Amino acid sequence: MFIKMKVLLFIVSTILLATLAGCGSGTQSSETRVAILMPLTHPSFDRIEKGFKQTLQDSFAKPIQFTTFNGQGSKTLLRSEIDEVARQNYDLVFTIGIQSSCMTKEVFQKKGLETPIVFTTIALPEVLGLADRSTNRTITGIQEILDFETLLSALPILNANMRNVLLVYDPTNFGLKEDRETVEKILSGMNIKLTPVEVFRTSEIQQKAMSFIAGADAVFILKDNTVVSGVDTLVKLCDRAGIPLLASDLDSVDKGAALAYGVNEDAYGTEAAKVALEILTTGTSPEAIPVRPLPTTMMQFKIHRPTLAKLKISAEAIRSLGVQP
Amino acid sequence: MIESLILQLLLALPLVLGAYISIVLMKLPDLSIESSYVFGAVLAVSCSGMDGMPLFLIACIGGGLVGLVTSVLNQYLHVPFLLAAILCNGLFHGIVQGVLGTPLVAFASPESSLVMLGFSQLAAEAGSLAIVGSLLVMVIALILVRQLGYCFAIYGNNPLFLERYGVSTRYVVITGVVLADAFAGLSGYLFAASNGFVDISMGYGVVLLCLTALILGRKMIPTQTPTVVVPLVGLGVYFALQQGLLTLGLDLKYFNAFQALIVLGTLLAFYRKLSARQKSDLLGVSS
Repeated sequence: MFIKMKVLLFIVSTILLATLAGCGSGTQSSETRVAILMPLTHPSFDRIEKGFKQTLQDSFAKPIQFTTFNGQGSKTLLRSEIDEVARQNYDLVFTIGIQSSCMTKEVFQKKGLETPIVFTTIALPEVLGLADRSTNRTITGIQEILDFETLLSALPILNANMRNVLLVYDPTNFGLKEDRETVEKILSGMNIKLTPVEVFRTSEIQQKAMSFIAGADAVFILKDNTVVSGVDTLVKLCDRAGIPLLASDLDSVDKGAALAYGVNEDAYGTEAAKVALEILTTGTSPEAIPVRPLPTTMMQFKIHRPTLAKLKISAEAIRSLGVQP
Repeated sequence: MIESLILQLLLALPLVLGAYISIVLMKLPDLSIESSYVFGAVLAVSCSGMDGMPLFLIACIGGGLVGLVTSVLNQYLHVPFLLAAILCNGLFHGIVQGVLGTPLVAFASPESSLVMLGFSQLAAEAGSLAIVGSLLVMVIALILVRQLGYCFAIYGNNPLFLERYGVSTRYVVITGVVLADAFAGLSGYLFAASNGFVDISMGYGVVLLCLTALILGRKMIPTQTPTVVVPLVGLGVYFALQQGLLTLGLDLKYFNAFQALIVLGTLLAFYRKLSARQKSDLLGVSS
């Protein structure tokens, strides 16, 4: 046992020594170094990262080295990674999502670091204290845009007698309660009742949505990690019920949702890359770049033709959405 | 890098100290530390009008409340402890949402009074955490050398012993779990305050962190006597390993798997066939 203890101590000492050897003010390199931080693994985040890297690599004159840090859902690990990013003296930090952006801003401010931070896909940056230029001199980014009015205007086109829409969402996702209220207001103006169904895990979708789907004329989902992960379940339920599924993210159409109105996730990465480019090439301070939403011109309808054909939606109706049938 | 390691150690210290009491000494599957970690933070953040010491106490009260519910379910309603902890997690998941009102609340980190002494914000934060950590270590060290500390350890080994000698096991369990979860609640608040936001999913991964740190500590300090050195060493080694992996550039997609392998490797490295009289505890460490 004493020998085994020595072995373990040796391993730990080696790692500690390696760690200490890695200590220092960070590596010096002629490459521009960009850190990418995300709180967990998600297909949308991967696409955003891809859009960001692609745009920056294509447009930036010098070679760029990207290092991606993923919190794997653990705040402790994310915090360690942010400390590591702070230690390594990157030229720019790109953060995806709320947790990584808020944590990075906090840690960097405490350490007095001037490294520019660019965030993306945050719906309410002003609520999180990220949009205030007077207190956030080193952080700027791209705000998430949502246009429920345009999306929901498609409802009467899909069914002239639309009376009841089922909203399946996870209220524990930041901003979705406010989105639900917005949707409710819009629908009440259209004399359509909204029936919200709250789910807290992807596995609950079938059990909860099934009870309410019989009385619904359509199902609507928000940009919601929990529900979007289980969109296949909703597609099956809607298919059985013969009603359309409307989504706020375009990727759900690829899985069978009838209709979506939104932007390609890559666009969040692309637009953030443009901000990063401005900072890296011209040396503009993030303070001088206001937080901006994606251009609304990037929003588009996307349809799932087989599903719409099954629902007997006419070609003229589809054309009226600005989409080719 | 050392400063980052120390800061993280100080943030997680109350959590692991608490887990040492309930999981190692009392040998209870105290999964409710996940809820107490979150609820302590949420309750303290909700009372944002105050600052300083009262918020620490509120965080402890929040965490302790979770422990109280779990231990009362176990001791008075005779619900198996693991089930009681799981039920408590479910219950407080809803309560947290009700109290917070929204999944995430961002706030300006409270300023440490040490800033007034001329320290930078980061140094002041580290200093405040060091003071809190030192106080907690002293409190735990004191408890562990008193009758209460011995009662925790005895309960974990043989609850009947306490009954035979007229010591209320209910009192021991409830006190131990409340204390453990109160510390977890405090740790949650410290973490939220350090990062400037609290969110309902921040408890994810804390149980695995505690288990890994405590297994490493128990293996490195093979003592039967309750001692505060075990969680301290375990936590230090855990964060050193984590930092080492980050520095070595390990693909962090595999971090959770690697963490589990470290635990498995540590247990296997010290595996020995146990005699009929020996048994291993919840962490797989032989007593």
